[in-house]
Amino acid sequence: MMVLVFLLYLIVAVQIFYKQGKYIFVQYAVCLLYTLYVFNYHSHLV
Amino acid sequence: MINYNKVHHLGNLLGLLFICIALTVAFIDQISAHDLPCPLCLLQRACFIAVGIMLGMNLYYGIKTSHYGFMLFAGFLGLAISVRQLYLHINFGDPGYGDEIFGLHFYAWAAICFIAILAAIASALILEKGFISINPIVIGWPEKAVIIVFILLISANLFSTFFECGFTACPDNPVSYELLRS
Repeated sequence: MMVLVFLLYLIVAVQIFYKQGKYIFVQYAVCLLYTLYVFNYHSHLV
Repeated sequence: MINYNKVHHLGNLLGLLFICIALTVAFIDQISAHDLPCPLCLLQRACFIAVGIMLGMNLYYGIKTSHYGFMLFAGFLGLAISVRQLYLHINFGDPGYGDEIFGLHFYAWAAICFIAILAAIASALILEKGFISINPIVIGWPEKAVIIVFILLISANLFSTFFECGFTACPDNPVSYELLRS
């Protein structure tokens, strides 16, 4: 679950260096929303 | 006359360098002191990475307000996560989670860093003349070096999180790497 957060960010970050995808902002927004979702899930933990 | 576009470029480069240093310090502490990051700590790292991605976009594809806008979202999310963790440990006698650095826990430093990031973005938006680029974007070796280090740090965090949590939700108070436990 948490692994997916970093995997999604890695996919977006690699696109900066190689070739910018057409929907990079959408991908980035999905990453942020997924981070928000994981935060909601883990917010009561240390 | 000051070239505001270059000021933005230098600011973004230094910002990305700062993010790389912050992620490296957290990672060194994780490895050397065996201080496994909690779920909220990992999410704060993810938000630092999210800010760094937009700094990299500014460096590679020119200074744009949309990049700063997304950076603001990531900064606010990171601040919310770190402040939430501060609130969880605000009770009397609570030792807090993890190691301290210069008298403050890592999540307290993260909150301070996210406030600094938001202030830096606000300052950058004031310099609106910098959004007009006269010269073509030049990507030199400092930019390439920093972005490669940044991508390597994301990969390192990905692998460490994989070993710590596997494909499931991370444990509440991690004491060992889930996948390396025999």
